[in-house]
Amino acid sequence: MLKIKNLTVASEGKTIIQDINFRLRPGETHFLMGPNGAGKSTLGLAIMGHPNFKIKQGQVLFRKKNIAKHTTDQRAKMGIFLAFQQPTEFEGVKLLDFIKAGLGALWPRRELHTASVRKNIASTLQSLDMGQDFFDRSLNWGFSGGEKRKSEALQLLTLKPKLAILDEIDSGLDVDSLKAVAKAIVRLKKNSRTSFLVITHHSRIARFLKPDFVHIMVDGRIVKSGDKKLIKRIEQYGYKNI
Amino acid sequence: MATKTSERDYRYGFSMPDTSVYRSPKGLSKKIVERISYLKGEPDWMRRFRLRSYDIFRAKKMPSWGVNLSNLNFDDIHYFVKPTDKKSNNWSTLPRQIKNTFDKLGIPEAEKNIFAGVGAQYDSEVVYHSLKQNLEKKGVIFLDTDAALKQYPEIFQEYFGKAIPPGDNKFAALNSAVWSGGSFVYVPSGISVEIPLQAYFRINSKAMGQFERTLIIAEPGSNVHYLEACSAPLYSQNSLHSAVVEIFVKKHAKVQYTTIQNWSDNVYNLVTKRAFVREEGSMRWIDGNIGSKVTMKYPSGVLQEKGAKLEVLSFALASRNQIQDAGGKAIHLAPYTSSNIVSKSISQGGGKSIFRALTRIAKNAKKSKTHMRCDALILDNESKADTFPNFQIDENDVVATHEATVGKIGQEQLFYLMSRGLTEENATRMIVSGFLEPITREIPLEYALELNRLMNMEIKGF
Repeated sequence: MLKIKNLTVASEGKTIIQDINFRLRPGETHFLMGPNGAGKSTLGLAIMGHPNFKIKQGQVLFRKKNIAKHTTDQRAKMGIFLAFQQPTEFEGVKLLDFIKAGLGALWPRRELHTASVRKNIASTLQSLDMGQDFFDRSLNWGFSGGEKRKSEALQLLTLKPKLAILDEIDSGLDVDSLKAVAKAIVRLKKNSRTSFLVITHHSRIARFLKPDFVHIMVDGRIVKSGDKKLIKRIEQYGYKNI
Repeated sequence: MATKTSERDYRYGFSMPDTSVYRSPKGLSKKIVERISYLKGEPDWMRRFRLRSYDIFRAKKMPSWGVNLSNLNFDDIHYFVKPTDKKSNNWSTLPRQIKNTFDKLGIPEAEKNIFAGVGAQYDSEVVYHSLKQNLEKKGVIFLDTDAALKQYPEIFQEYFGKAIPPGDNKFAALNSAVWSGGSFVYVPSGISVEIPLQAYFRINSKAMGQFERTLIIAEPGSNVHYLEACSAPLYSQNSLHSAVVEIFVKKHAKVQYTTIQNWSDNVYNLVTKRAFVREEGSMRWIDGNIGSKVTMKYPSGVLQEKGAKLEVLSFALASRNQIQDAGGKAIHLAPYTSSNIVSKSISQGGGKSIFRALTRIAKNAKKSKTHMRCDALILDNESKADTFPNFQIDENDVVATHEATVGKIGQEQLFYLMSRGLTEENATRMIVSGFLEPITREIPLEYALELNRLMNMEIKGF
């Protein structure tokens, strides 16, 4: 699904990610963990094609295709999704209209009536414990931290990508909300066989969403990879002494 | 990111062969003014009013501020073009060219679906007019202004030229001298016109001046929404559109006046609009400017009595070769009055948008409130936006606030939308439509959809 090969990423001349490698097979869930400023979010943004982050060396292969030359919207159409840690706010753009535009872009041949889209999303909203008035609010505008996570989760669950990169989807959520979001994601994984790259520095989401692999990133490098037992070791020893 | 400077995508630029029944020679003279009045069979007071206005027009200097109008040649314009002798309330009896024009613009269809009454002006005169019967029975008058002068001379004379006298400015004087067409709306006391009335103004002739005159009187406790739209063929020669709109909002009455201006890029659009608002009355201008070569327009409100309210919500799109100089004006003359002037402008492809607004609060207009907000969005490096807010406040016991932002579309915003599959162009459109939303939500839905479609056509993205 996703192969990261000797990848080095820089921003404004400064190297942020240095020579990393890993491979994520279809249906797998990988955790990318590490301290703040390790370069985890940069990896997510670079995979999505953020203009500030340049691939200096190596490759990002998605379903065996080098995606370096593809624009961000093309990558989305190929099936990549990034749940942002800090989603941008848009005054006046209704959440529903935005999701509709996203669906229209990803599935141009599907008929999209606002009413039917609304109905389909309504049940997703319910599973996330969100009120139906969420539809008509401006996208991320004045949202609380928890609401922003849920907005990202709602988009993820509606757009059903092949690969979902979740950047800190668990932060700022109370226990009940975390449970609701995680459950919905697990359901998506089961029904749509979505693969996940989960960026986090908490272990608590692992209770719901089981990782097949865990990578530890420190100072732009992957210093250790392993299975879910690695999470226990982090809890014991921290990132520094692992 | 590279900038694109493509031409406007203007689909209303078609023209029809000239079938007019009378056309004044180019240029303006006393003789032409007399001729217009004679052809219309007007009472003598109107003929004298026109001639007096003509003298004022000749005496007045061009405005010393705002957009440079030195390329506007008053001698190169036909001031009166009579399209037909057959005015009608039935589309099918209109001359074919005229009917086809309005069909192409979708007016008869909109009439069926959205509006309580429709007026359609073609060059200098209104050729079609209708009003739903139930409104007619309630005493609502919706006529073209020429017809109103004949049928309701008393109401007409009481209000005509009282909000905007000929001496107000050079273009108001010009309009007063050669006015023709426009709408006359009278809503009796306590009557609420639930669905909007629409007027459509079409220029067809080359080097043409259109000078419609609109007069709206809302008696105490009444309520009406009037909506106007316009377009013109694209010619290399300039045309001039210079309207005067006067509105009288009585005690507890409410008037909304919505404009979607979409002239072709060869039209100078220099318009004077003013409302007089009485006790607890409420006037709202929604002023959209997408077209024209140059627009200068500042809908205003004179808040004459206690509790009167004014809102001016304006939006402008300035594209290549366009200057949109727009805003609003609030004059507070009484206590507890309030005004809110909001402007959203977008500049692209080298276009220039200017926000110009004035709020004046007179001494003793205690407890009055005014708010001014202007947001400018610039889509590329060649385009410009300027803002000129102005407050003149002679009373201490008031609240006056002002906000302004000038910005470009953020990279993070584009990236976020594109990460969900939207192309850069569509992402830009979505951001623009969100930027305009505080204003478009106040427009009837069908019109807002049409407006969004128009904007999507015009916005080229980066």
